[in-house]
Amino acid sequence: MWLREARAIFEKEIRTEWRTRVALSGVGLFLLGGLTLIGLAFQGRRVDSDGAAALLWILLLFTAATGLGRGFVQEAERGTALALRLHARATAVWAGKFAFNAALLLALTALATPLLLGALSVDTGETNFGALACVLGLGSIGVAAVFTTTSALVAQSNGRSGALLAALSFPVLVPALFMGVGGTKAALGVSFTVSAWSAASGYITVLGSYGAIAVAASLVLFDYVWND
Amino acid sequence: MTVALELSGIEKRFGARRVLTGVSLSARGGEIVAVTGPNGTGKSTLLKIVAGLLRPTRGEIGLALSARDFSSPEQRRKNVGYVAPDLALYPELSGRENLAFFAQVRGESGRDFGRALERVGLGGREGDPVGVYSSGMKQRLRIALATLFDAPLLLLDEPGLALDAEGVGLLEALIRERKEAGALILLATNDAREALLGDRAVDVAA
Amino acid sequence: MSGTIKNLLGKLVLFLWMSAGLAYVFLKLPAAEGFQNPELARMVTLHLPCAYVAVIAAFISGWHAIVYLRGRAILSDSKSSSSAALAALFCLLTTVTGSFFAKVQWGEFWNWDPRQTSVFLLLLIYAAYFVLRASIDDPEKRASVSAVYMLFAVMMTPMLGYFIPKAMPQSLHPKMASFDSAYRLGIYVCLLPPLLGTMLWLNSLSIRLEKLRLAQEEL
Repeated sequence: MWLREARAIFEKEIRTEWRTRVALSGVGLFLLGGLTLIGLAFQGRRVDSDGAAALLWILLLFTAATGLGRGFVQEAERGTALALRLHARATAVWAGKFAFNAALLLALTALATPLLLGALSVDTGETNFGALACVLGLGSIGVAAVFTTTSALVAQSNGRSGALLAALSFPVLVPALFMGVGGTKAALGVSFTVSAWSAASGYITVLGSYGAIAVAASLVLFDYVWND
Repeated sequence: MTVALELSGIEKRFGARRVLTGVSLSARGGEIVAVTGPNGTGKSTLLKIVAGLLRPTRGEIGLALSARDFSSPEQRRKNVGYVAPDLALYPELSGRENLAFFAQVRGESGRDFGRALERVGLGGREGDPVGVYSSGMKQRLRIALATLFDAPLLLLDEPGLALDAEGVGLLEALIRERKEAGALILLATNDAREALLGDRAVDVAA
Repeated sequence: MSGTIKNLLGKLVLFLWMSAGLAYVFLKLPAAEGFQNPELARMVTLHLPCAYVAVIAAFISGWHAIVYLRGRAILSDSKSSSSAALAALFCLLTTVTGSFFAKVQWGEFWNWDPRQTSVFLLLLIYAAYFVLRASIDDPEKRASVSAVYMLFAVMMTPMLGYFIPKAMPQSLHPKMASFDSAYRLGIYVCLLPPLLGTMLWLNSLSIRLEKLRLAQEEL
């Protein structure tokens, strides 16, 4: 029942987005623009894994702030939220939107990571790509959960501005940033004494629980935002 | 299914602005109640409160279906058909896809969407995206969605908005049909002709 | 009448306690040997109570956010937001006193120390909270949306206490055990109670003001 409801909303998100591709092309261009600027700023100079991990996460967070805020804001602006509130349960709406945001951010991360590592000529000789995928994947899911909830808050405000979305989200995202940068660095292979996998596994666990807490907190609180 | 709605002392304030000052009403299925009052006195607000889309500042709403209590906002939301000017449907989806989406969300995909669209005169245009509909066609689609699930409580906020003469005829036929079927209908309107549909009227400004 | 007298008496006690506390700390408390500037290390007796009071105000604010969402009394929202403002104020005082201390003892105003970072993030969250509040007109919607943000932040950030030391292991902050009894007296007896009293007093003032405003709206 609940799952079917959430799936219907997820599919609706994909279908409406695919018909116009406004959000997709906008955030895609933002990401490519950001990558180009970073590439031009370094001009092929080799960047160590510290710098690369930090740049990658900053780029991902800004891309998420640009691309993941639309869902609820659009429902509120157009007035479709009223119809959705009548027919769907709040938690199912959140879950459907979250699934869409998470899928979008995962796709963007998968696109950005190889391009950024290439542009910065990062040495990937010691990299454990499985661990890297875990860190970035779980990180993206947690980040998507936070933005899904904060964007629902922003949708209730007057200006519904992207600046407010960033202001609300960034302080809450700091743990994800710390663990994400640490985990990415570890997965890229910095340590000579331990394998990349064992260095990254601690970060992976914490990122996973960060995402789980974000999802749980959102499911508990979302009804108060959606139906007020 | 028998319907009974009981409103007592509904008040709504937005900050210092008072919109509703103690509206009470008792009505049952098979009735059409016209909700009247000058612009800005809270007709739309009252319907939103009954629909479970807005919390009243004060007052109680009781809804009983087949003598069982359905008063919580969640239960009310699920059991109303609601038409309002600020309710919109997805412009990227076609009329039919919009109905199918809400039906899928409710787990009622077996509904006859073709017939529902036919009833409001959208039969030929059901595949077009709602974004290219005229405002009258959008209004017809809202009416189709509100009547699709045989809701026992029908809340119509200016349902004749932007409708042509044919559309008004279809709307009135649908309202009568739902009334015969035992639904309770609240009809907020400023149109004197539309208000005549009501068996009685409640003035929110009084 | 007796209420007024009690009120006055309360303020008098608060004032005397605060004066006596400050006098003890600045005149009587021995300088803390072992720090680069032992005289100025007395700053901690102000710094630490401010941090405690900020945390207490933050808890009061979160508690009233929950009460609001359960009971929908608009006064709970006023209580939540006024405690949040005081939590932000005491966070700021903690940061400022801490910065001076850091400059004197460690040479820099800002060191990206884990606890400095945590308090700073808390300040950012409160700033975002008040911007969010300012951007919603309907008082009930403002109340529930800001309560949800407050509680969401509360659920997401205690992890900071766990994450930050892990990500930034080298803390400059001393362990609690390193305070001797004279300092503990200064912190917990001389200054924590009057600062806490001041916070609660300011809080009650702003709630009284809010009650009057609500009563006026009622008319």
